[in-house]
Amino acid sequence: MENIDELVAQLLQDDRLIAWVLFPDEEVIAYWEQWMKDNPQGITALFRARGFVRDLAYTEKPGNARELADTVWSGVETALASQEAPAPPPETLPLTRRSSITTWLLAASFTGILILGGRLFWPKSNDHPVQPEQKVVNLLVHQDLDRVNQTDRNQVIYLVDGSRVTLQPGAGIRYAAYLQKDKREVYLKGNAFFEVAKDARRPFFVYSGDLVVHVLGTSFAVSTDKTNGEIMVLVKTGKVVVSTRPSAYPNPAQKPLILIQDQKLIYKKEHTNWTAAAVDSQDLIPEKIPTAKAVVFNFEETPVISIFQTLENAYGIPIHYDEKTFSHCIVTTSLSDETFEEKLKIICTAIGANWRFDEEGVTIEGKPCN
Amino acid sequence: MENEPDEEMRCWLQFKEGDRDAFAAIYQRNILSLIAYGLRLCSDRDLLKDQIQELFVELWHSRRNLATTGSVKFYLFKALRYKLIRLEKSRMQRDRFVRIAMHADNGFEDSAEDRVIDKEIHASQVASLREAIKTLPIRQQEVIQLRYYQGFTHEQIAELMELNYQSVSNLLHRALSRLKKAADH
Repeated sequence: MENIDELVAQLLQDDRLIAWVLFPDEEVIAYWEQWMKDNPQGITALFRARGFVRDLAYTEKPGNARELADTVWSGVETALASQEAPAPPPETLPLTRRSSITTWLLAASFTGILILGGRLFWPKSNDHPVQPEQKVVNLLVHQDLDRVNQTDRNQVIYLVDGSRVTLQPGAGIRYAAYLQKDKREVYLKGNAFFEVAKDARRPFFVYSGDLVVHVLGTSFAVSTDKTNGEIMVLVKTGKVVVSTRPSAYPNPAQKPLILIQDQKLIYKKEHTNWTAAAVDSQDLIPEKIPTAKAVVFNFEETPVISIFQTLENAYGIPIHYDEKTFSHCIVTTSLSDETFEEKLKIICTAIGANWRFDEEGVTIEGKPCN
Repeated sequence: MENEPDEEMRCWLQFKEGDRDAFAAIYQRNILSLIAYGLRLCSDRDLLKDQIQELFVELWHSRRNLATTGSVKFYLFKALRYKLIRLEKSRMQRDRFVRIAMHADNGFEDSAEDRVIDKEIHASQVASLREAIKTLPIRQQEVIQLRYYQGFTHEQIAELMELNYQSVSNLLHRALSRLKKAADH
């Protein structure tokens, strides 16, 4: 018995054990799985240590903290509001009229920024025949792409790795535009359907509310119920692993959950145990699984500038080029599931141009076509 | 520890620019941990409520001058701890803190929720653990929470509690051995 105690004491000193219980991520889970393979005789001690940490975490959870938190917040808001109220002006202008003008100005400038952001990526295009409509607002800041569906219909957008995301109205995702790190990470607000391109070297993570969904290559939907904050993850094909984010109110009991084809998870904050459930026909309604017509990448005698605009809309990455140079370039090609880079390559080869990535997106350079 | 330091950083920067939504998000993400920690340092819930409220109001007003911080949570913890300690000194609340160490109940009232959770998971174990923690000296209680609930490393705990690494290690060791005795019963 002494050996186990010693090992437990040792394990309790290990930061990775604590991370495993409180903030499990892929790395730390893999570490302990390997540890268990290498130390089968220590498994009892490991789970005893794990249980101990878990119990400790539970004891630290204060009761009625939520109430206290809400009380404090309304106090903060009240204090700030009373401190920010404009002092009575010396002139005769009534107070309310003045503050409403300020509000209008603030609102106008905020909207202006959004629209301006959209326009920055839209080259002067008054004289071009066919204008693919910009349906999703894209904002590129320091290589982070923020894309929001501000229309009232589902919209499909493309990620550079070949993944496709269908955003419901109001939904938005944020990710590193070129997804170059060793993992592909997407932050989701609202409801969306993901078709993730397989890339064994780079796992794909979707963060939404309290949850992390981890996939290799698959199609699945994530939706959040606005009325009660429940999040549903539904897998159509493939396999995902769902876990809670560190920022979620600590819920140590959650072991990462594997969902396979036709399984779903409904996550409620208060649940201490979660399990996969089977998908039923009720779940496959369009409101929950956004579908939309994919963007067409078939081009027949199409001005290359129009093609650039289609790509820009689909991928959200601004494409810069000199209009005069390429105004006479016409391309016929049919593209489908290639990555963004591959598509660029094909198109640029067709018009004898070069492309490069930089801070502001993609820049195309070349000579005029005949 | 965090999966998305980028999002946290972005939120922090937006808050510094005056974005109230970002400010609210920072609050919501950290307040429950902060309360859990605050209650360990100060058993008076009303007093704690006022101090945390003051903390966030001050944070908002001084947002432009704040550093671009590594960990928002850690920063908030330090700020709260500093505030409570300063308050203790200026109000000469030392007596109150000393009394806490001797009391069985440290403001962690067993809510109805606690009792239900206890039933679901190893009821007696958790309950006796909870009782055992209450008998620990206040600093051992603090260090247990910081490590096993908030997930801070030895280094972070040392910085937060203004101790050296070895002292943190000792505190943890002592606390753990006492608790393990309780857990084994």
